[in-house]
This record gives sequence, C-alpha cells and structure tokens, in this order.
Amino acid sequence: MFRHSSVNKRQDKLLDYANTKKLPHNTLLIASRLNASYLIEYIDVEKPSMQQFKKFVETVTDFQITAEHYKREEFLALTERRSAVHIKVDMFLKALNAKGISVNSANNFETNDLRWSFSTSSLRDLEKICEALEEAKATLDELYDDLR
Amino acid sequence: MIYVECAAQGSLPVKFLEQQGRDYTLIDGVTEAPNDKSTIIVCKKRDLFCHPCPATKIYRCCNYYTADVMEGCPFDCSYCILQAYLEHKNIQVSADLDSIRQSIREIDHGSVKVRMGTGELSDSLALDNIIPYTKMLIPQINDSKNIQFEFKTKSANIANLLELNPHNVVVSWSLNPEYIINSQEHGTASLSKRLEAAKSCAEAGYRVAFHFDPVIYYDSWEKDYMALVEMLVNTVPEQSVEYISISTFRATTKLVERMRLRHLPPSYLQGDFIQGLDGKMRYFKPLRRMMIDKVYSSLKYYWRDVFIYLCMEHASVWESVLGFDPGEREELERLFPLFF
Repeated sequence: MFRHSSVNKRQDKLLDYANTKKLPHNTLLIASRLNASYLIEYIDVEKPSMQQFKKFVETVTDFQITAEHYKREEFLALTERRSAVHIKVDMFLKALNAKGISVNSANNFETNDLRWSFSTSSLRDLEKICEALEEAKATLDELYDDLR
Repeated sequence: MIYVECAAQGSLPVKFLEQQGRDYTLIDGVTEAPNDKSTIIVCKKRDLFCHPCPATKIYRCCNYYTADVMEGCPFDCSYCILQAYLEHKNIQVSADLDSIRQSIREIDHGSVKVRMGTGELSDSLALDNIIPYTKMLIPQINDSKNIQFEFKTKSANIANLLELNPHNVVVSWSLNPEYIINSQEHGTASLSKRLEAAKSCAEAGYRVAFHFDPVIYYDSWEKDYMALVEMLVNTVPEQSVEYISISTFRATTKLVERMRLRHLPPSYLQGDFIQGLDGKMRYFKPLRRMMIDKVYSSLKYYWRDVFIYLCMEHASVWESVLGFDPGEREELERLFPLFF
C-alpha cells in the first residue's frame, strides 16, 4: 500500500512539473518510460527549465541509464558523447581561449566559416594575439583542414 | 495477413496472389486492416508514382527518381526514416499497375537518362515472393530507352529476378556489418546471404550496386567495416558492380524521437552528433569525414574503377575524400556510369 502511494506521488510530482513547464507530449511519453525517482531527484536538485529537462530525458534514454538516484557527477561522466576528433578540436579552442582568442562556428563546424574574436587595448596586446596565432599556426591549419 | 481493397479486386497484384493460392481478406478501405508490419494491403489508391527523390541544396544529392509502388516495409531497422515519414506501419501495395506503368513510360519518353527505383518507401524485394513487382515491372524496363531501374533490398529474395531479363536493371543491397544487422536491422537477411544473393544476380547478368548507408559509429566500427569490405570484394566480381554509395547515419528530429520511443533505443544514439545545416542530426563533420574516408579508401584499395558516391553529404566532404565537388543534382547525376 505504501509502495503504491509512493509511486502515485512520484507520478503526480512528474505530472505537476510537466504541466507547469508545458512539456511537449513526446518528451513526456519518453520520460514516462524512465525511472521516475531518478527524474524527480533531477528536478528537485537542478530545477531545470523545460529545455534542460527535455535534453536530460533524451540523454538518459540514449545512455539507457537505469540508476535509482540522480548524482550530477555520475550523470555527467556517463554522458560524454564527444569523439576523440571532437575533443581535440575542443582542447585547441580552449587553449586559444586561454590566450584571449575566442573562436565560434555558427553551424556546428559544418563549414569552415569561423568567427574569431578578441579585444585589445594596446598595440602590445595585439602583438600577443598575433604571436599566439603564429604559435598555433600548424594546429590551425589542421583545424581548417578538418573542417574543409 | 493479406488484405485486398474491394476496389483492387481483379488487379494484377491480386491475380498473382490468387495464382499462388494465397488467402486474403476483402476490405472496403485500408483503415479496416491492422496497422502492423505483418499486414499487407493491396489497395487501389492513385498517387504520383514516379518523381525525383526529395533533395536538399545544402548537401549534395543526385537526381534519382523514386517509383513509389509500395509504402511500408516488413523489416524493422531501428534507423529507418519510414518510422517518421509514414503514418502507417502496415505495407500498402498499389494495385494500379496501369498508372505505375504509365508513370514510368512518361519518364522514359523524355530525353534524359534516368535512374529510378522502388526502394525509397519500401524494400524493393522483401515481399517479391508474394507481390512480384519484379515480374510486373521488369519486362517494361527491359524495353525502356532511358531508364535504369534499381531494386534496392536488405533481403535475399531474388528467385524471381533469376528468371527475368537483367537488361536495364540494377539490383542493390544496403550493407552493414553483421553486428549492426543483428542488433538494428531486424528481420533482414544476414550479410552473407545478401552477398551470396548479389553474387547470384551478378552471375545471372545483373549489374549490382551497394549502399554503405548508414555507416554507424560504435566501438569496433572500423574493424567491422573493413571486414565487411573484404567480404564484399571476395564474394562479388568487381566488373558487375555499377556503383556504391556511402553515407553516415543521419536523422530528422522526428525520427530521433521515434527511435527514443522504441522498446530498446539504439545505443548508437550516444554518438557525437551535431545539428546539420538541414536541421538533421549528423555526426560531427571531422568524425564523419574520417568514417567516410576509411570506407571509401578501403573500397578503392580493392576496386579502383568502381564509381563511388556520397549520399546527402556536404561539398567539402566530397572535396576532402574524393578530391572534387560534384555539383548539384543534374551535375552529380552526369557522373553516374549508366550502362545503357
């Protein structure tokens, strides 16, 4: 009897969240097949937006996570989707970012059109940017090659 | 279970059913039949049977024509676009052979050479032992001046083909490693059966083709695809191969939703995906370029002269892997080695 009411309670809580956030029907349908207590704990801990919850449900489904209790670190560790080649690009962009150069792709790197941005307040700053780019030349060439 | 719409009685597909002594149930409309993959409905509906394959300008597409004689497939591949594209699961077979033939004739009477096939909304041969479209269409195709007709399949259902004239006909197989076939292509023929069927068709004089589509990323993908290529080249003679396509897994948002609603969502959804320029989910470009390059190079290592093309891929990937951009539809189509 206790189990029955606790299951109902979890379902009610999930439905309340779905109503409040106006979850898409299909997201709710996919969510209904997952472990309810895991979802509820996620909602309680992260207070997710509708988009964040949708993404979470998709990830839990794709990774077939069956855990009872939500733990952020465990979840993040399980969900690393990036391939080695993608991680290499990420690391390179991160290294440039540390030198004040930010690189963005408007289309998830589907084309080699990249938006470069940095700010300088002196000629010396600009020289530093140029030096950093010069140092990264070989890797940059490789990156453009990968995207070409 | 087979159903026949009352309006389709007396049609050629129904006559074939009767010749084989198959039982069927008469219905007034398709909604009366169960909506599942084991249900075949012969129906009278009229449609635009032959038309250019829908394409996008963002990714390179050829100028293939599809002949929609059947909607739905008895196989259950986890990645199949039909899950999202069709409103029904059952297999709806057109009884209107006159209109289908007329539609093919109209295209044949044009001045352009056209590649056409029935494999877009169904598997071309999966049901050929029950509804023998090969027997119904090939005699007309044999006489055509401008059409090279493709039967695309994941089956080994070639008995009818072996009794027909192979002129103007290409038989093609979608290929994936046995691991993917066993886990994701439910109900289809094994890899060795597909390759043996291709060999038999080649021996019977057919041109054959292969589609490495979708190439799927998983732990041992590279080793498995290389082994697949070896099996292919060791079974089928190069001189019988008309063309080969390569493309990695891609999916619309709607399809991904359907896949997530499956009893066991495929584990390859855990892959490194981005949203492509056409809104479809695709592998991160450097990753898919690498995957395509491995399969392409492996095929070219054994078969230098076979024409290989990429299906719905970005011009930059063409340039990177094959060394050139084929251009848009008609331009890419001109590269195909039409055998007539």
